[in-house]
Amino acid sequence: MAQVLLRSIEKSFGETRVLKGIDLAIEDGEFVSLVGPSGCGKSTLLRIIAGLEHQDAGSVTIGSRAVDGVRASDRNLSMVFQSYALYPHLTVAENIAVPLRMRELDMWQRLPLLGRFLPGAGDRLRHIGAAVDDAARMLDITHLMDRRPGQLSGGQRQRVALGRALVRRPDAFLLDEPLSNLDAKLRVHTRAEIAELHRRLGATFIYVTHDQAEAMTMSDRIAVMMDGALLQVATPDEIYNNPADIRVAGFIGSPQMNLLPVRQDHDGTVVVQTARLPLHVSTPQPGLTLGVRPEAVRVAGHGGALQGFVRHIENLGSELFVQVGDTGAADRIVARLEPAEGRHLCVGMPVGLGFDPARTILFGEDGRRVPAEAMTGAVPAGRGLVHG
Amino acid sequence: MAELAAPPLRRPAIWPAHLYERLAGGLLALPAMVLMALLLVGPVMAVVLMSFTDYQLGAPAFAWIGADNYLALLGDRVFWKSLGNTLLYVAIVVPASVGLGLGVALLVESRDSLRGFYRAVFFIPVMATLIATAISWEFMLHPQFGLVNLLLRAAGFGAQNWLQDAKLVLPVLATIGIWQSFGFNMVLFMAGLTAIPRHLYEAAELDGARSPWSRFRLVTWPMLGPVTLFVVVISGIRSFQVFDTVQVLTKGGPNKHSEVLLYTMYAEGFEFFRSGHAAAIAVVFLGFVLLLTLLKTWAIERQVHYR
Repeated sequence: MAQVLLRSIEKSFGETRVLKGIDLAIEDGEFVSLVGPSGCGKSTLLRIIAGLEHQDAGSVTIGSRAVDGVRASDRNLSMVFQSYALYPHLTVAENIAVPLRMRELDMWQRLPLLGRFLPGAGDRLRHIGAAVDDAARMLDITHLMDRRPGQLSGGQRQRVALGRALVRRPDAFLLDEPLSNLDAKLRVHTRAEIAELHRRLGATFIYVTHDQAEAMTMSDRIAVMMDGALLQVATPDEIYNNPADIRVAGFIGSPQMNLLPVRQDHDGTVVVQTARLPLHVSTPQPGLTLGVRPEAVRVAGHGGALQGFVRHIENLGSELFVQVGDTGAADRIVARLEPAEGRHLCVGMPVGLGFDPARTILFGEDGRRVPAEAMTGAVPAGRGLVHG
Repeated sequence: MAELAAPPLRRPAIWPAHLYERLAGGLLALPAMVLMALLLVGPVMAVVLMSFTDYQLGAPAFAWIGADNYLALLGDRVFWKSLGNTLLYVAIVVPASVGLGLGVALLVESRDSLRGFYRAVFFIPVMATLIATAISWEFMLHPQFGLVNLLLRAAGFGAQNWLQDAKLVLPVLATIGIWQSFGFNMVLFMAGLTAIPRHLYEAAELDGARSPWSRFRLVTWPMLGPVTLFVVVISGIRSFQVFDTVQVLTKGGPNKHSEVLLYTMYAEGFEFFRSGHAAAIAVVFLGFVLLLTLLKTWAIERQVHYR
């Protein structure tokens, strides 16, 4: 178990700068997700931590040890690969045993047939067998021990890969999109299991994914990466409710945050289309964008800050997502409603939209957050609905 | 939706359904079956049948003589010598050309530079006509003015009569066989090496496989299993077929020390015109090839494809 510290990591492949100075401190026992769209450099960063790739500049520290120039096998890390990378010729039990055999037996003791009779081999083999059994029991794969990876389903292979990672106690676990080859149902199930595994082991987990739902559901902290830079590192709550960058806001959350171009009135009040919102920005800012989560959008029969028409309704059973178009904004605005609230709505119906000012966010022209004060006085207490 | 179901196919009422399907399938397969019978099974059967006759090339008639040809082989010193030489040749060439092919493939694949060059250079002997290269070897191995002996003399060693020395002749032929065939094995191994997923090596590195040897044992060798099996069987069959070099360089000499199965068969059939006798040798040869093929499909195939 150890802390992992990254200091100004840089990496280029040819002309392309993949990582542009990454600073990240991962605490001992923490579950941190590196999340971002494909090509953002998250896998490269994980491979640099693992030692499979070497950074052009910057340093990696694991525990109290700087590991730059230390090869992967000496870094005491375990990794779960997206493809699982199981050895196809070995059984499940043998696959899980590999990290222990490689580290605890010497070359002669590893020899087939003969090796087990060499001095010292018997005790160590018994110890390895016990550790493999423990790992298998933890992952509930004891009934698969004699099979080969080719005879296993995707979910079972994934468990074997996890077993191989946790059979010894590494300083940290690195997981590279381990769920992306599973079907949707199994993915939801397995992410809960991995989160529980993390709690049980109390080890440092670094988890790479492009799926914001995985990052949100499992992590202590999320590191959102885009174009080779870290945009924000914070708890899932913070990332969701207080995104520091418009790209974070757009990436995290499904359906994604509504982003509307707004302008400032002469007194600093934020204006969307023609409606004045009870939001105030003191310094003049060009190119402002208003961010509103679907659950902070209210649909009213008429009135509200914006008017439009219902274009589509997604009914998920437990909730409705109502897409409202022709509001004057380029994109449709999505509102999340309780099924009871949206029962009267149908496609084509004219509606008004209101925003909860306390739950809106403003971004400047550069995509960074702009501080805004909600003018609570303008709103009837306890309602939080804005009518223009 | 019942009304949308396709109407049942009409077929002549006199045929039961399964018979009709069988007949149609049989008719469709017939052209291929005929060609296979004519071109593959037919000649083999002809040879097998001929091995039970006293047929001589060009003779107007023949008689069935049962297993006499085979009994004659059992008592034939030249045949046993020839079989022993062939097995020894195979025993030298197969491990050496497979090992060398694998070694060179690993070396060439471990570097990015000049990969294409090495591949081409080592593949040249495979592409070149063996008869032609055998003649070059004959010049090089000439006892008086061959390049090999000139070099040996210059280096202070004694010259050898490579192709006329009873002890040396088979190893020399085997060396030429290795030189000729390992490039082919190398190319097959290189294809096998590039097919190994990189992730396995990375997993092995993280699992603590530090030395090249442990990586080879853990990943490369098992993953090359199917290729290795194929290469061994192909090399085995190809070296069983050794003929060109013997025909050009030694004609089985000196004193039958380089007599090999195919050469014996050729000499019996086309020099002494004892076609029945030659056919019996051919059947023995086919038996060995068949044995190798069966070994591949039954005994080992299941061991190298990890299912």
